[in-house]
Amino acid sequence: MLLVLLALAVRAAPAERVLRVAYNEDVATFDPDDAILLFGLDAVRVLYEGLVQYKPGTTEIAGWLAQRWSVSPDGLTYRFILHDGVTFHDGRPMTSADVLAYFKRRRHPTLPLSYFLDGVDSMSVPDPHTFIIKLKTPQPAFLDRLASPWAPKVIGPAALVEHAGGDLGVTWLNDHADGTGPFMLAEMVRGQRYVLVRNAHYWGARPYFDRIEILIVPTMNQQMLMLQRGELDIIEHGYPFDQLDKVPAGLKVDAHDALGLEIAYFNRSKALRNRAVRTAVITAINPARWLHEVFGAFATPARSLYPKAMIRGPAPVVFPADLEAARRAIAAVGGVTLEIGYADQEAPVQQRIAEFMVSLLKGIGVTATVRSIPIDQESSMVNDLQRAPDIFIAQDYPDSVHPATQTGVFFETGAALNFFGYSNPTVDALCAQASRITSIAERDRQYLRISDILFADGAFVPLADIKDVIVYRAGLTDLGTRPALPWAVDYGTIRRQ
Amino acid sequence: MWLFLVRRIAALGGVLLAMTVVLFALQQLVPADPARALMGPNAPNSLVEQKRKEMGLDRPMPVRYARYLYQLAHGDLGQSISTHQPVTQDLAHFAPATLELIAAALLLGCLLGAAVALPQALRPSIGGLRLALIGAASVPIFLTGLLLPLLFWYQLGWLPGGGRISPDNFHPGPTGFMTLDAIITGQPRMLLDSLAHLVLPAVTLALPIAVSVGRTLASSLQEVYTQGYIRTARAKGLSEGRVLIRHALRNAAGPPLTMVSLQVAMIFSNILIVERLFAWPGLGSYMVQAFASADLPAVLGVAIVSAVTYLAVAAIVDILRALLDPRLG
Amino acid sequence: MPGLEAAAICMLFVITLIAIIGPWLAPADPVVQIAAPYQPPSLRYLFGTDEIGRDMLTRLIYGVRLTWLPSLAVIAIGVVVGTLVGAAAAVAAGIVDSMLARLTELFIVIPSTMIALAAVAALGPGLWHTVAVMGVFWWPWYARIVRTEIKTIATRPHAEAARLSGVAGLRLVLRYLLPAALPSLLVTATLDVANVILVLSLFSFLGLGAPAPAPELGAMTARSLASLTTHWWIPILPAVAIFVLVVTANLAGDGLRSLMKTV
Repeated sequence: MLLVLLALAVRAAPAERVLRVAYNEDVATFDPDDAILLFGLDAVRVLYEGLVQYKPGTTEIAGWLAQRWSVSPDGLTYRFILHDGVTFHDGRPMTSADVLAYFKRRRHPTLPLSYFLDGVDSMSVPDPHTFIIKLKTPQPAFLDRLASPWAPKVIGPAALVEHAGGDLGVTWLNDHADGTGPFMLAEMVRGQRYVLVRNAHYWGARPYFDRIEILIVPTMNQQMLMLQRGELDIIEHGYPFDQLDKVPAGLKVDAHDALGLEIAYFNRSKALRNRAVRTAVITAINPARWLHEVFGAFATPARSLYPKAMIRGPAPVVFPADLEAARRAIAAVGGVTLEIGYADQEAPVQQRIAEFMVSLLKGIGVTATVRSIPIDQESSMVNDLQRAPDIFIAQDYPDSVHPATQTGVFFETGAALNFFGYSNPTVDALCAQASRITSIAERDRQYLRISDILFADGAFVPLADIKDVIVYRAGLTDLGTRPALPWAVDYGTIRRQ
Repeated sequence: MWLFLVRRIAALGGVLLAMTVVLFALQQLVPADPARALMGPNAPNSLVEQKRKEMGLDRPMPVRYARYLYQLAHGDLGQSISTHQPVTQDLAHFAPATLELIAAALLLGCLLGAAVALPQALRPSIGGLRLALIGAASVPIFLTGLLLPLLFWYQLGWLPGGGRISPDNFHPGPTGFMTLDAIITGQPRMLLDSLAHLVLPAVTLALPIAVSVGRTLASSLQEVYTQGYIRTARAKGLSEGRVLIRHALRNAAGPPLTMVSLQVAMIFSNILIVERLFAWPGLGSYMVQAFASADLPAVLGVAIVSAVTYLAVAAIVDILRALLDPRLG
Repeated sequence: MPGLEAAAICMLFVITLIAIIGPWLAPADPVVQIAAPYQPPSLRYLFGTDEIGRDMLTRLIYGVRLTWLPSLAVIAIGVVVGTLVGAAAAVAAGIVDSMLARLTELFIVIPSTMIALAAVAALGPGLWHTVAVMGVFWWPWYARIVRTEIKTIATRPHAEAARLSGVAGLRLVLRYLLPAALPSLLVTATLDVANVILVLSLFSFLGLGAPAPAPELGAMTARSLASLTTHWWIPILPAVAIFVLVVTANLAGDGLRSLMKTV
């Protein structure tokens, strides 16, 4: 009886339009120059706005704060004409001077995402509506960089001037936001929830929802139960793939192509030093043998070392198929023991893939164990290859849609996510060459050639294109998803019918 | 009495120091890179190097340890790598949730334990009760933590499934303890709601406590009942109830009280699991995140809080024991 | 109910036997897929298949092995090291004694979970890392128990008599004091098996212990939480297995204790 009374006391009927979503864990900050994780991009997107963005559902670039833009014939000068009437959250109007001040902040070397503006020679503002960026050398990927989810997004003077606090406003922006976007940051209670409220002075189209409540719920199990009970409206990421074909009534599934390519990285300094062993292992872990059981209809075999939304390779990658030869190769060296590592943040899916691989490898005589690698240790693997796992599987996202960001992040010498330190000067030269090509067909041909070399070398094995899946309550539409925007819907466009 | 407390605190200081050394040393072996964790996976290596220098991570370990101790002596626990805030601020934010949960669990555990032990002591031959107790003691905590909300939240909808409170009922208060703040600020809805949210996680944590405290109390009572002074008391004509309260409980309280402080020491691992299962924003959740980012300052901060909590409980237990049994102290 | 306790003590032996001959008993390979994933329990697959399509019965048998044997190992470490240190403390007294008390307190105050997490972060996952950490945290209890027991026994008449008649030092300890402490030690150890199993399964739930794909019972539950309402056997059965192990250990311990009392 007391319990029933307690339950009744707790019911509260909301009068405004509220959307409830969940994160698995806290974000460190919503500062667009500091925000480096994959989740949290949905909020950053509606707090702050960039010069350009991708159109929903496509990889085409459209204007955002810039209503139009032009590139000089020599590819060095980018001229952006800004919208009129843009205001920051506190009502102050935004001019090109504010944009310049912000871009200068973005370039500051202490900020993790400053490298987006590498190669910029100078920036100028001839009038309050025009912003000009001049590059040192042509960068065909530059506009994609500016449309990336991690691209520069204008922060206002309240943060950069009044609350700069000697560290470029980084501390203040841990708990506050000052952008031009359709939502403002009202509450940030770590460990519990974040609240975004609609910006009443927004210069663009008014969003449907008045509040976005982001709850911190660590276990997917609970998120799913909350979604079923109506305590959550959307699960943006992590819904178990094996349950997507039987979601309960009242829930719907949105699956779209994304830029997350599942790749297996090979550590060629230990057991996989031997080429025949490598080929045998690749034969065993052929995605055709496990893809369907892990992902059902929500993944396809990779077509190259680029996500298919980036470059659509001509056909799925051809894996060696002779299992008997593989078995013989392993027996010839007296058996092999391997360790498969995976990125800890993606544990449930990656672990499942890894364990399927263990099962398949056993079939050719390879004994394998599995180990989760925390995010801070991922980049340290290259420092001690003997201690690192033999294979590392991960689904990582490049910075943007241009292939130069894929090679620059994963395959080139010294790249940040080149986990086992693969280094091939020929490949580096080819990448540099390809990044300067402006014809898309020619460029893609070059990049595919690079992919072939890397696969033949046995350093990177492309496994699967995995769709981003969003499970949501029926009645919600205009989710505004984009291939280049991982794990996120667009709170600015989403509405309830 | 005071000398005793001072000595205890000094001993604990030594223990805390030893603990920081162990954790610091272990951290050295971890092939982790806090600077990389801060800058994220896509940042170029040159920037990460710079950050590493800034954080002083390129200095040798004894230097870093000395620096940490120096800051600690000034009340500065460093900055957390995962939240970018001072650790003291993070602790102030997350600790009340955990402490409130522990307090509720201890209270419930002792009450349940006593409720189970007393009938057993008075009438020792209730076999079914004993078996039920053993059963309750044998269930792994993650099983109860899964099944209780499944029943009471998902199926029946009587109680909330996670979190500390519904956002609509929340009013900030001075202590950070939802129940206390609700009373202080005079918000009955907040009080009811926070209690509703406390029930399931506290019960999950309380069960192992209830069982061990109950068993210790029961066997302690059984032993006490065989003593001479009980027979004397009965011979003097005292009722069974008064025998229990006046003589038996006082003398039997020692071992179960010690068990309570032991349970607090061991509650930490259970807290990690319960906070995760119930989305409870406390030190356990903070710790899990800290480990994921090689966040040594945060880990040390939590270790210190848990050690201090144990000291407080142990001190209270010692005082209670001294009060109850004048032979001690 | 002496019958139940006797049955439990028998079960102890049966479980130990299963743990040892498990690999020969199990119908399949615990890491290899043998059927479609998520098959519910049936006549063919007694406990169904898991998310990779591996046989749950096999994995449970191996899981018992991975829980039971390490638990015995932890107890063994605790008893052996604890006895040595405790006996030494009891005999030496003075500074050694108070150092032991401080050491025991140190191990109470430091949350063992944190050290275990830190150790695994440093050394990589591994069953024996976790067993070592647990052993290190377990022996102080036994040292204290042995020390207290020996001190108590030392005041008993027959020990006094032995001392007065000239038996001293090591011989006194080995012939008179230690053997008298053993029964109580044995009972505590058996009851403790239950605790060790619970703590091990907790660690395993947190990801410590033998690395995947090893069928650690706690880990099996932790990883399949999302299947709770759809494929219940995957998270629930391992937890029930833990429950069975712990209940057996508890009942057996109780049985031994009442046996000791009557002796």
